[in-house]
Amino acid sequence: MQRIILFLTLLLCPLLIIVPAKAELRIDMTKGVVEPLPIAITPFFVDSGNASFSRDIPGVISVNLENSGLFRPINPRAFVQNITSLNQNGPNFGEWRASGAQALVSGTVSKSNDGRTRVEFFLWDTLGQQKLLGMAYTTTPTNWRRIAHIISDEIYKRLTGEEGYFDSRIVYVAESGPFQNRTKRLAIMDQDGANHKYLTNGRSLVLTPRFSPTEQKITYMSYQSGKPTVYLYDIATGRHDPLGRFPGMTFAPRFSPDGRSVIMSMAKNGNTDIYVMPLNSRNPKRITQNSAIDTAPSFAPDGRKIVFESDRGGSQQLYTMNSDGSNVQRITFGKGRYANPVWSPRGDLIAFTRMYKGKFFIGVIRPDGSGERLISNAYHVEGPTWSPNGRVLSYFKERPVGNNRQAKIYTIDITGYNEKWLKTPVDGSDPAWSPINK
Amino acid sequence: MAISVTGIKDNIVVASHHVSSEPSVTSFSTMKGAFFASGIFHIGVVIISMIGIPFLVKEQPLIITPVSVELVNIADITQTPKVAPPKKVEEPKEIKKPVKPEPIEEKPKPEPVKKDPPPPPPSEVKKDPPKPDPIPEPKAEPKKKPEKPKEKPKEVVKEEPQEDKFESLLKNLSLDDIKPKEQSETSNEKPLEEILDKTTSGQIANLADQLTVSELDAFKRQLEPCWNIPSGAKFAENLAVEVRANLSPDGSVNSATVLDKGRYNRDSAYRAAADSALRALRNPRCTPLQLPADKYQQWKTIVINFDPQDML
Repeated sequence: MQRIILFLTLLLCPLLIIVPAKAELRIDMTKGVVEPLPIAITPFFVDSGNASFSRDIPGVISVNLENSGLFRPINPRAFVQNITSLNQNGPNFGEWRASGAQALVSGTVSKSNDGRTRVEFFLWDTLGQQKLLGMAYTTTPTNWRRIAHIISDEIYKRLTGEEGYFDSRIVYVAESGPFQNRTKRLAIMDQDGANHKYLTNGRSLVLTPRFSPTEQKITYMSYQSGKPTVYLYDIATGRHDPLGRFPGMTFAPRFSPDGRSVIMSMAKNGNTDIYVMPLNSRNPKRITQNSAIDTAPSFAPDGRKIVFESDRGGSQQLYTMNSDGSNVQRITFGKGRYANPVWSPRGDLIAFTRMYKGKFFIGVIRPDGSGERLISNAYHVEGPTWSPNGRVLSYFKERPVGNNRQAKIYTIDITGYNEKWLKTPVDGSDPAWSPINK
Repeated sequence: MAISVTGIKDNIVVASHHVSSEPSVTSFSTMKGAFFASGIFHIGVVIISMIGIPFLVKEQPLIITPVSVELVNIADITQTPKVAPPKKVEEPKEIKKPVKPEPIEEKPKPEPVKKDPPPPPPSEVKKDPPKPDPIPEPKAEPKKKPEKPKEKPKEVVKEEPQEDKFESLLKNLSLDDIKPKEQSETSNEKPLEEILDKTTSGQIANLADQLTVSELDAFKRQLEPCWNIPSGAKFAENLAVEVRANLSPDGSVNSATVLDKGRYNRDSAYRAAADSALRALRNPRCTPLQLPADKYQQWKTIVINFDPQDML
């Protein structure tokens, strides 16, 4: 019996090798296009409750997606199916496909028994003729904008594969008054400019606000006490506290990725070095020991590395090091000066400001120093900050206007396209993006 | 203690093994057994000769030399409508004169008209737009590459090193005269062999039935405008997606499935890239696919590798 089995096995082995090798024609597509995805965002069907939500919620979603540069909401006049039929019978895929839409958003709004609003939405793939997403949220009616942002994030995530960034805020320095006597106040708004409010009264100068990556807290530098000092501001309670009493000037603060410490520069005895200070002990630990100026530190999202600027090599360039200060490596070698590096929350890029022959640029570079790209420039452009998903950068541009100057905040996609002005009630500088709201 | 138990167990196994094998040996020695074995052997031989041997023959590695002969004519046809006639037209003529063994002029990748980089959606910032770096002008000049029989590597039309054919989709401004590092180093020229190898890898058939490079290029050009690549995604260069499509004789896509289902389910960025590839195959703007009907057997089922790497 054994021999028969052995014999058969030997006999069939070659067949096993031969049969699966049937070949297919294989084609490599190496070129495509980059176009915003055409998406139909239909009015929501209001079952009960506030009728204006029918257009308001899809309106916010539409603006969000369009602003990202990755989507193109199609003109509502091209809508082929009325919303009652759409929400009762589901989409007529053939007709939507003919309208050019490759994705379709529908939704219903209703009032729950306790008076809260329930918003339900669906995302459809018109070409694949299937439902991609369906979710519902219940909240107080005043929160409708936030629901619209959360829905935008879900759509963005499903279609791009990356986390969204719409349910987030931006804190910035609101500037007003003449150049010599500028009033600078901290202000905060949603990433689309809505819900604007001021956080400080403007009596003392504030600079370089930075959001905590984990909490609704901001660190910034202020001249409140006469000398530059790093403060911590809790948005929920409205409390401002100096981080500590230090022998020298402290500036360029940023949170660590876990939000538990602040990394900053301190100038002591004419030498500027980088310090990390845990927020519980408030006991700063020196990270760099160099006679050159080391400043503008920023942690990698995993907390293991730090990027900073230094003039130790003769000119101002970017360096990375381990979080304990070891293994310092220079990553930029270009002409001009590099400043203000910020590590992307996605980890793959570092944004920076570069100055050359009187011109300012915003650029990105990989952490190993490869792939440097300059994506925006202006008379003066500075202070890049990342959207929480690492896809969009915000920064400000400044230019002289008569005797004064004008500062505006912009956003740009990291591909270098889709630069947009983010409107603010007064001039704005030094934007800092929050994490996704919790 | 444990060892001795194992030992005992082993003994038992050996013993039973021995006992069971004995009867089978006796039965195998009879005529019946031999007849049975012989029967199976013959069936096996018949199966191999029917199924195995044709496969063995077909599976010979693709010989590309004869394919290149065919390319000369058709490649010219594919390119003419797309590219402005270059001044160098005379040169190819001279080169074509020589008899057979000479290198054959041919264009490995007919360039379709250059696409502009992703249209920056209408910006609200008209007044103060960032000065986009003049993106390298599309080159009208077609690429020329020798098919190389190894003996004569030199008889080629001389050519300037060209700009990256696949214009990058990631914007990079220049510091006036300074070129950022990587701009200068890019040249995506590929040897013809590599391109042929890639486009037709695994292809086996009679030469007459084989899709020509021109036909493959026409296919790609048709699909290009509908494939939206994930240009700004994290590690977008690693988001190549393989899709198997079953096509009807009229070129419409019956079904399209992503091969790497596991990654599709666990990696959301890959899923988005894969969905985008599927959308290209389902987009009415780009389908039905125009492929030669007489070669349907060749493209009934195809595997398309959507690889954005060269675009980034």
